Amino acid sequence: MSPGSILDWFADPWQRQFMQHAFIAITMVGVICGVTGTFVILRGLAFMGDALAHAIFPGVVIAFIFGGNFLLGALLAAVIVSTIIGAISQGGRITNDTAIGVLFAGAFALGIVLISTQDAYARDLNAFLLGTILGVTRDDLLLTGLVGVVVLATMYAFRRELVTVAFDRTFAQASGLRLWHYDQLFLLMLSLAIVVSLQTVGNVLVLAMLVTPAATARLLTDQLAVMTTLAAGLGAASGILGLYLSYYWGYASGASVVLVATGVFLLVYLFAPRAGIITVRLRRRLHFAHPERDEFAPVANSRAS
Amino acid sequence: MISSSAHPGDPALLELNDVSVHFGQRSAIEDISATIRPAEIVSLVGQNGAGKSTILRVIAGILPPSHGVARLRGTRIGCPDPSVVYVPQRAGVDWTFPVSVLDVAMMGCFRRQPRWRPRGAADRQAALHALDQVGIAHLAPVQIGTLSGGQQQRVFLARAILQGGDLMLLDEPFGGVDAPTQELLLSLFRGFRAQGMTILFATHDLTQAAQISDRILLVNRRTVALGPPSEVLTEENLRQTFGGQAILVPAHSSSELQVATAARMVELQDAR
Repeated sequence: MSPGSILDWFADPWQRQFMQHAFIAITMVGVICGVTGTFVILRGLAFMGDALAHAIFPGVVIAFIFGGNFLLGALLAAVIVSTIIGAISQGGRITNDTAIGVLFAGAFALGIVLISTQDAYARDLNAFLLGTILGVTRDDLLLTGLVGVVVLATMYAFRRELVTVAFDRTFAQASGLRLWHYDQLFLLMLSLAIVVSLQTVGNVLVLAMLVTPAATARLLTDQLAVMTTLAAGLGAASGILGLYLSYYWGYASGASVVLVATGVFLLVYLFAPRAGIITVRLRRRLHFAHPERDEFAPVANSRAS
Repeated sequence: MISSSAHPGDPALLELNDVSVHFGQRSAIEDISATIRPAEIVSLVGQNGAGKSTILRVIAGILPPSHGVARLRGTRIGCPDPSVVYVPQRAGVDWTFPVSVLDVAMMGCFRRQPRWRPRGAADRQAALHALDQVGIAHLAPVQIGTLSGGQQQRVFLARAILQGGDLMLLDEPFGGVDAPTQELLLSLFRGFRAQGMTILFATHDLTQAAQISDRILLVNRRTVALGPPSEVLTEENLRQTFGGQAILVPAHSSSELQVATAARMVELQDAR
């Protein structure tokens, strides 16, 4: 390949408007999901994220049937479901993940029943499950951008509260922060992130956009701000690369994006400078042979003196 | 050992009146009553499951009592009060969380300022100063995952210092920390008391409790006794606090010996 043809390889998809839209959409989704996903993995809410993604299904379907705004329908469903989950698990007899499991499957089934009353049942279901990234319109882009700005600005404005609530709940509560308020605020932001991702990656794979780039970022840094930025960047980059693969080889677009993100995670898991399992082994060997050359020698951390 | 400031005539800072907490069918504490005065160090001693954390959480205003009333300066405690600083157990926190020692200390700034005000150099300085007071200023940029138990406790203390307040509640501050940190805790407590602050800390270790407390509150889901160490550390009280397996203490021994024996008794309990 000549340098010119490599450039062509990259530039070619951009000649088509539907690909431009797809690239812009997946970049925004990557950033939004990377930022919210950072908190999802720090709080161990992956299952909750997956549940919300499925639970908003009936909301979308109802909006679709009655011609309402699908974003509004999805959000309403998300708020209802996350409130019910919270209320059920407050009782103490049923654990949080059980409540999530019950609601998640139940809401999803309701969505399927509703959509099976429609004529184009199979096509609609497919579009919802796997996304239709190549059909993103200009209006969709505007909406995604708007929601993205709201989510990012809110998360930034409340970052200290969200971090404190995630790190030390008892302390946060004793400092006068209402846990319920901040939990619901975060779940709302998470629902928004999921809703705008549905069209691009689909309901089944949105969890990967939330969890995988953030997990990769966690392996690369111990600083929350860096981790959040890295997760956003990794999400967007995996999205763009995945779309290229999809464009040239005809793979399903959402799945290609997720596979790229997963591949990056595996590479980092094995070879990250500090935490990679192969890197650590190699370094240990190098350290014993040449201690003076060890860049990442454990920092002497004087025990409490 | 009794502080001169803890006269019976002082107005009460904190009053617990027959406070009970029930979780469903299970009762965590029953009819706990106690009065705590300004500028005293009180330890809350009992076995695991005796309700120590529950009592602290009621006072912190994050757990409403099922029965009875808790009052702070005469006002019923309904929500967290800015003058009360709560230092939770170290074990309740995920120490792999990607934040630095300085980040955690800075969480102590929460109630001092409106949330929209950006944190500036002054807050950083205050946080660094607090870290310096607990002897870990050099660890400020370090990720918390690398800290020892004693260092973790010091980070929590720095955060509490930054919060400011006149009643500090600590849940098991001596648990699993090294000897130098225990010494630091004792000297910090004395310093806080000298500034007029009241300290109430939970522990199941009588050694520290007897060493520093003006008064000890012995609990076993109910109040067993409240008073100066020399008065409350009797064989009968300890038997009630720690259960049946009491070791006999010679009747006329010094309170120091009683304490040592009681501490050994607790160790035996833990080992079982």
